[in-house]
Amino acid sequence: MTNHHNDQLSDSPKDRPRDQPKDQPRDQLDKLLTDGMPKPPDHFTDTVLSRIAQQTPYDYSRPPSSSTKTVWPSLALAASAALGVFQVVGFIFGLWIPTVAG
Amino acid sequence: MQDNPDMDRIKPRKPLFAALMSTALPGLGQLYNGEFNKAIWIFLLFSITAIPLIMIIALLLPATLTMPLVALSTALTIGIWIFAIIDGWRVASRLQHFQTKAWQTSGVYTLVFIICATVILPATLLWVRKHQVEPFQIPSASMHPSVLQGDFIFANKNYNCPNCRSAVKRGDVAIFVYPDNRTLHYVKRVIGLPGDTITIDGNNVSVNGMRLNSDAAPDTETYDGKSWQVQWTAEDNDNSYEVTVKPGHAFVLGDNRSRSNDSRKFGQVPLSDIVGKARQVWFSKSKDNIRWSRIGQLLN
Repeated sequence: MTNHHNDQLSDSPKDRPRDQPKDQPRDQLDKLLTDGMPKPPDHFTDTVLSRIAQQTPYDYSRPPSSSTKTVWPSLALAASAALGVFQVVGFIFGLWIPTVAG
Repeated sequence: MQDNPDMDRIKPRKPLFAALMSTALPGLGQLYNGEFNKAIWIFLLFSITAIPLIMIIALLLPATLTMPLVALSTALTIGIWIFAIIDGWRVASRLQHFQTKAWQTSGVYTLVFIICATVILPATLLWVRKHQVEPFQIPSASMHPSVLQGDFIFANKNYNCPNCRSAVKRGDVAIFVYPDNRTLHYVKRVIGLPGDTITIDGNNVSVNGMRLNSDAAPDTETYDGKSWQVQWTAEDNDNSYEVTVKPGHAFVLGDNRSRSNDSRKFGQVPLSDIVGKARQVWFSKSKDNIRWSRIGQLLN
């Protein structure tokens, strides 16, 4: 019975599989680090990646916007400016708003 | 790696923010840019110098200058406002490595805005309208031909009050609170002061036995060097009226004597309710057109 502890990182020889040579990397991660990244299968782009693109139409080329940080303060400022404009215009033209005297 | 608090306060100024803040309140954009002294001066010029100071000066000068000075104060106020907006934008565009001061927080800007825009500006305007100059619109024809229906006038409010420059005189075109409805203002001519005996016999009005008009000019009344035109109709020929003005009161008549609701009907007006003296026409329109010739006309 062979125990494959491929996910463990222990260096203990007793954890190494019996059929694993001593000079062979112990797990897949070590293997990848020494041998380099494996080639993706053929047609990987056409199958897996195209499905991802169909299911998630997010435009990865566009940087994410910080809408929460800029929109609400800008809206508040615009509303305050509108109120302020109303007050300022009322002050400027206040001397031209007549009272009725019959 | 240590935190640098000074680096945390390096915040470039946004020109749009500065311009919007000055739009909302002249001087606020300058406050945002850290120009504390300039912010104060801009607000002072906008709120106190442009309108109140010029109105005080206007009342010291001849009445013919009232309307031009009101127009000047309006233009100056608008100019200061536009300057504040443009200056806020321009200065903010240069402040890309700006270290904010400890007091430059949104709470301070909000507090300044609330105090200045919603308290100081309205209070200043109310003070000018109550104590210096106030515009009035005349919807009735009771003062024809002196003040026409559709006239818009400026009234001197520095009138008939303690330490005021002008007291109520016979012949003044005065604005007062209507005795039968204190939410309304009326405009009529003061004919009698406390203690005067007013006699109306047909189309002739006399004050203390002295007739205001003459047989040669029955529609022209004169008192103490002041003259004005009046209108009567034939139905007034049988008028007979005599009254003595009570202490603390005034007797008022409309110049359109046959079409006027005045002291003959609602009684004498308390002197304390006379709030202004008509000064100058600043606009006039009839049903069909603008009466350009009346703009600038003096009323007293």
